[in-house]
Amino acid sequence: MVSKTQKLGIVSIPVLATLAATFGVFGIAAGLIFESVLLETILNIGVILSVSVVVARISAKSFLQTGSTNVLLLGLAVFEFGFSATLGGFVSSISVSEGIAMYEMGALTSAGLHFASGVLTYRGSPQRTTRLGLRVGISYVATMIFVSILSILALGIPSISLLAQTGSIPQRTVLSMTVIMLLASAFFFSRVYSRSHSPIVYWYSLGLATTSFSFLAFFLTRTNGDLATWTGIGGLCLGSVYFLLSVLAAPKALGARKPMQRVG
Amino acid sequence: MEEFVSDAVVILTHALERGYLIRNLDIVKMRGTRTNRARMKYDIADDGIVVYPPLTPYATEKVYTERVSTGIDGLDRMLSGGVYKGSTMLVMGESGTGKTTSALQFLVRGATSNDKVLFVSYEESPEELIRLGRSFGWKLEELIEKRLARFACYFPDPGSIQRVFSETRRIIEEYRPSRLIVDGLTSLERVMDEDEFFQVIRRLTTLGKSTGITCLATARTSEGALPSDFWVSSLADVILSLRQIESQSALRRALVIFKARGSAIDPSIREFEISQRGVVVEDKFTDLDQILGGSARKSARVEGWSDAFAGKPKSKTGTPG
Repeated sequence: MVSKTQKLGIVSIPVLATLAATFGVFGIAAGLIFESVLLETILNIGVILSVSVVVARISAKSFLQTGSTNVLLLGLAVFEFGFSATLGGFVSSISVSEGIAMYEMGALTSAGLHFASGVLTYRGSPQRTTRLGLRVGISYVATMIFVSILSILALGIPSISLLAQTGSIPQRTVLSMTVIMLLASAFFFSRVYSRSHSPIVYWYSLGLATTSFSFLAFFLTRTNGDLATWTGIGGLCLGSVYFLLSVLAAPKALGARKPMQRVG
Repeated sequence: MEEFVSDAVVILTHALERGYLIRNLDIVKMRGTRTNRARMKYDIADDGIVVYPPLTPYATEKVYTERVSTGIDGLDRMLSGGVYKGSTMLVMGESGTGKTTSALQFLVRGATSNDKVLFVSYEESPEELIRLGRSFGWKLEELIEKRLARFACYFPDPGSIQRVFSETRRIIEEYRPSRLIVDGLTSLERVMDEDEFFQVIRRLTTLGKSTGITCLATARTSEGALPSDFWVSSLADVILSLRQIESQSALRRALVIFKARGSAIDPSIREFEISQRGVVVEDKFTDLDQILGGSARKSARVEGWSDAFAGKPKSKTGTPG
């Protein structure tokens, strides 16, 4: 049973698509440019990173409980995106192009992890039983190291800034792959939702779809800072809100359980 | 009239207590002598009348800063290096949680460090304890032979309790242990009235502070009991609670330190295992909530999240451990 709020949430997809097409394809209000590294940094840290930490935390705990690889990948995917968005914001304060390149590389990796998680969730995930704490610790530390290396590479290799050039082939390639993988993972999670009807999966799937359309808006951006760019940024924040709603949809408390058995 | 003319008046009575005829001795008058005004119990033994003086606390003499290992390495870490010498640690938990095993581990660690350890049990015989130790690979017979460990086991009833204490006191004075274990306080509590039991615990806790003997006492509590449920627990310097919790159709064991006077402690609720090496403390619980409430349950949000993304389980990788 889909609630009114859930129905309302799905409206964001056509709205985002329409806005992206309006500002990106048709070039309406193309002259309106607004760039603010500060505002983007605030949104990256305040919304995207904060939500990614919440999702990563619950996923890590869930992995410790179940050992399901798909949940670990899901947490890593969200955390990787949040962390790279934040580091990308800092890199942007040094050089905007490198910051954008960093952001896009982080998003691509995150989309790949989400895709893997979606496939595993849909088809059946391997479950680990040993050294779960160690696995979680290593995975998250490795993700942070990886993103840090990405930021160093972004600053150290000038050709990487090609990714920030709107309309360049490298950027188009990265963004299109990101959009496709995010859409595919949203599809897989929506299939899981059709089996379980879990509001958690619903909001998560919607968050992925929204994020995917946000990157579509970036794909269609004509100039950095135009309305298509801000459509994308707004969409990412909305996607984060959906991820948060997914966490909040998990029950706060469980129903009554069987009393414990005594032994001895 | 005789009471006025005599220099000393001692009244012997007996009373029925908990189904046992208990002999009491009251010194009503002892001219020119300071006497103990408390009622004393006495017995007619083979060698005549034996009077059992009331159990008064030892005078506290020293505060020790030296740490003593509990025998459980993980617990020592949680206690910042073990318990203070001369302190009393109360291990409370339901039946089957590992209290006696922990106590034996305390004994083995002490004895292997050349500390003399006296194990007083009110629930199990020496043979049973030796067999339990053998199941963990601890050669208690050897420790007994080397006079590093000694067992004294009693199954007290209201009629024999005073004799048990008298005998225990004699052994302590003769054996002079560095560590004392009292296993089964609950069995004592059952055969004594509240005041007497309080005095026993008071005496036990002050014994360590006075003589430097580090004590470990175990008490069986009901499911989900808190220290306040074992009313004399406030007298202990360290309170350790062992629990069994149900999770995913299995029993898991949890350990938490409620109190450790003068020590920084790790307040987390940790899982422990009774392995072939005895009690082994593991990581803290991350997947269960409300363990102390007696009805452990998974963190609801985490469980909801896990269930939502459970999908179809495919395969198990790795070996259980």
